[in-house]
Amino acid sequence: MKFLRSIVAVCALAVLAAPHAAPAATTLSQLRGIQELKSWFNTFNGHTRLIFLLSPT
Amino acid sequence: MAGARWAQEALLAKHPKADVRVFVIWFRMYPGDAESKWPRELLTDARVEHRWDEPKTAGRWFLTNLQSLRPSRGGDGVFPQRVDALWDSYLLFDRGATWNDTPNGVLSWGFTVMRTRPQLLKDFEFAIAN
Repeated sequence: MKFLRSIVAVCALAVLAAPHAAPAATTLSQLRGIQELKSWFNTFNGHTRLIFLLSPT
Repeated sequence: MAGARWAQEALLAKHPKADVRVFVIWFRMYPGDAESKWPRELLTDARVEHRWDEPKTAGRWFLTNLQSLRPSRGGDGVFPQRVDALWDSYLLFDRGATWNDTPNGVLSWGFTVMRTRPQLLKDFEFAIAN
């Protein structure tokens, strides 16, 4: 039982140690025009924002 | 894609608690480019959103409006290509930036991401510290 608790604790710590890790998305949503970008931009007012324009080259 | 890989490692992984939101817009610029080649393993941080932009709406919009951006922290402001969209580029905005007709609060922008990464790194670290 103690061993099981240790395993659970280690797993929990591993999850907490990577708070910003997200599972890789499997699909890519289509941009719904410049309005969607503008909306995202204004939604996150108060945060530093970074936009990348990239091609999968 | 080297720029995306660099951003993941040098910006987001290095600053896991930085109060930043990232929007990555992917589109075709070369004949071989395709949505299916989107590198889903890059920029997987929860602070990042990705979109595919088939008509290059965002890249075209920023290229058209490039002159209205006023980077407060300089940068070389060079986009020498004769193409129809701003690409392989970043745009960094401060916390107070708002977008009415055009976005204000531009700290810097750069083309290419890899060429201008020292400026981006410097301005990113400035932004998250303030």
